[in-house]
Amino acid sequence: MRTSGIHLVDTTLRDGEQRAGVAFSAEEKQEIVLALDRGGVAWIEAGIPAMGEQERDVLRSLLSLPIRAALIAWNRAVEKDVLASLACGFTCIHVSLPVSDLHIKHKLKKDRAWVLAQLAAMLQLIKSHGCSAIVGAEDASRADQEFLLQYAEVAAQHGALRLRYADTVGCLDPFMTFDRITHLAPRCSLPIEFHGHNDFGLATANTLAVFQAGGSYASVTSTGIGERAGNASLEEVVTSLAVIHGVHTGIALGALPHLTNLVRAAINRPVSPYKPLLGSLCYVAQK
Amino acid sequence: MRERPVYSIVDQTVDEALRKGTASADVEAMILLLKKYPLDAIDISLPHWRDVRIRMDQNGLQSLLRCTVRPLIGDIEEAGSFGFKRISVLWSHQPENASLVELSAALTAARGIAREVCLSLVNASCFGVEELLQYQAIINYRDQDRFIYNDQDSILEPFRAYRDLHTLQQAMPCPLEFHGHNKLGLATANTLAAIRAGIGYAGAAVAGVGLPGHAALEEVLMTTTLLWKQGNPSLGRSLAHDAEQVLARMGIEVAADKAIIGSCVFDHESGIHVDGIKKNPALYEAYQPEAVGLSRNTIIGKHSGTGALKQKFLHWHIALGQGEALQLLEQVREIATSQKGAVSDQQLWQLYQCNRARGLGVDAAAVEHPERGRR
Repeated sequence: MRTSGIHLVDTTLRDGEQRAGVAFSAEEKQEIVLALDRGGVAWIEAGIPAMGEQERDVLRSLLSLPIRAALIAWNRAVEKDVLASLACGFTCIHVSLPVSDLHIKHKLKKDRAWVLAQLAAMLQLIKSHGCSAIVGAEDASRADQEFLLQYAEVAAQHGALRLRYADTVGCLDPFMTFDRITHLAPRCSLPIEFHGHNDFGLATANTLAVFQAGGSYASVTSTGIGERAGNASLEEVVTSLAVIHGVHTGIALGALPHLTNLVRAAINRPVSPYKPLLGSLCYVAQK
Repeated sequence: MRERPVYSIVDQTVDEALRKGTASADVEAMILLLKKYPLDAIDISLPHWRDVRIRMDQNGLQSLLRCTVRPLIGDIEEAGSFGFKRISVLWSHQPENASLVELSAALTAARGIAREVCLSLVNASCFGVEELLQYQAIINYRDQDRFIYNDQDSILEPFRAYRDLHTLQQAMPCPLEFHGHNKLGLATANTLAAIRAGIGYAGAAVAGVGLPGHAALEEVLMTTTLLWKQGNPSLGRSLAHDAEQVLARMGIEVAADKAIIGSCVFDHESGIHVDGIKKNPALYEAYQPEAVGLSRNTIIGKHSGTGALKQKFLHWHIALGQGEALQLLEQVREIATSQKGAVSDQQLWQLYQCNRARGLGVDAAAVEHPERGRR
């Protein structure tokens, strides 16, 4: 595996908070952002401004923090959502559209052409405000890969920074992931960010496979919290990269316990004593 | 093209139960539950068996239990005295001390007692395949023998696991078993890589318990069954319940978000997801909850949308208007944020009643709480 050009995007405050029944307070969000920034995380997906005025107040408070990390606002590719993010003060805007036919047909009740046109319109809107865009491809792992490339091409033509390849229902294993990214990366003009879910317990391994296949970015959450069985764990990915592959991500291993404690306290749910790196018995086992 | 995985599980759950001092009756109940799944063996560390009061001559236990021992004649004889007919000898490879005399003596002693003898190389993953091939001769004794590739330090990743085990599989004269550990969260992926490489036996534990942890049995089984579409899809129908029962016997609660078996892995809260699930569950679920014996739940909380509220009230035979739903949603978000968690049905109902009382809701006269009659 290469030893540089590997970047992590933390989405604890966005996808992590979307774990059913979890809600962070403003203070917790601020502390988590500061801890992520101090730990060396360069990209933080902070939340969804379209959720309402109260949420926008919290997000504005995050934007005012003295940090180096870039804060990203997550949006459906809907004009009012994007405008809410711009009005909130974000300059790095994530817009997401589904790319699988299953989602396009059953959720959006649209077609592929509509998806490409909507993406182009939202990217023009973001660009017209002088902001950067990151493009999310929801359910990419179940999409037609040729259509995904067309989608990426539209994103590239409109100046997007990168393409998020979302394994929305966590239906990849590391070998499938490697094959997909190996096929996609050389043909895609944008850097690929992988977003893995843990429905089969494979999110961390899939994320590592992406870096082995030529992907440059991956999104993770502290303690692996997220919808259903969660996301790739920041702690597991950073430690595995360091211990197994000798790759330093720029994120300090020593900063992780403080961050983990903040997130665990904020979600206030028991962690299995056997959970890798975090469980109480794992500390014993490592001594 | 992926090879067809044919494998059996070597259980590590029971050994962890014994380490924790779980009562013999509970251990027997655990074994009965675990036997519903494709088990080849149940590993038991010799020291953990010393205080156990389980008769080995019933329920086919003797053919299932395998004792793991140090390469010491005393350990092997003790395992034999307990009635073990399957013995796994633990061995740590030391390149600077290549003498295998001690190991050879231990294996010979074990073969005098047991019908199956396994050589478990605890630090196999620290070495390349070439280094491990020196064990070819010592294990090549009889058909029942087996070589166990152990990743004691959790330093393996799936691609190396596949590569090394595929090569080793072709070179070794006996069946191979993979025993992964989970310090970094990769044990399930490594075990699946081993199965993909053709390894027929895989160590695993329910929820990955053990010190250090193991591959999660339920993740391995359901990945091969539901994701790879290999094997009987009805295998998992009671998996979540069985896993919960097994762990309960050990005094362990399943983490709510534990992949495959957690009680909340089919909970949906966010507006986008609840709306999607309503249209087609496959949009946000890799498989149906019934496949593992779980059920789907809609949670009302900070990330809910009006669709979820309307759905919830429809369940109570109340059709919320859009304006009323938006008002409720704002209140729900406020409460969920302040209490840092989901909003209960009771809270939701109280909000609705307050709104109605203030004349802010639609005319809902004569509407009663749907639960009222049942309390």
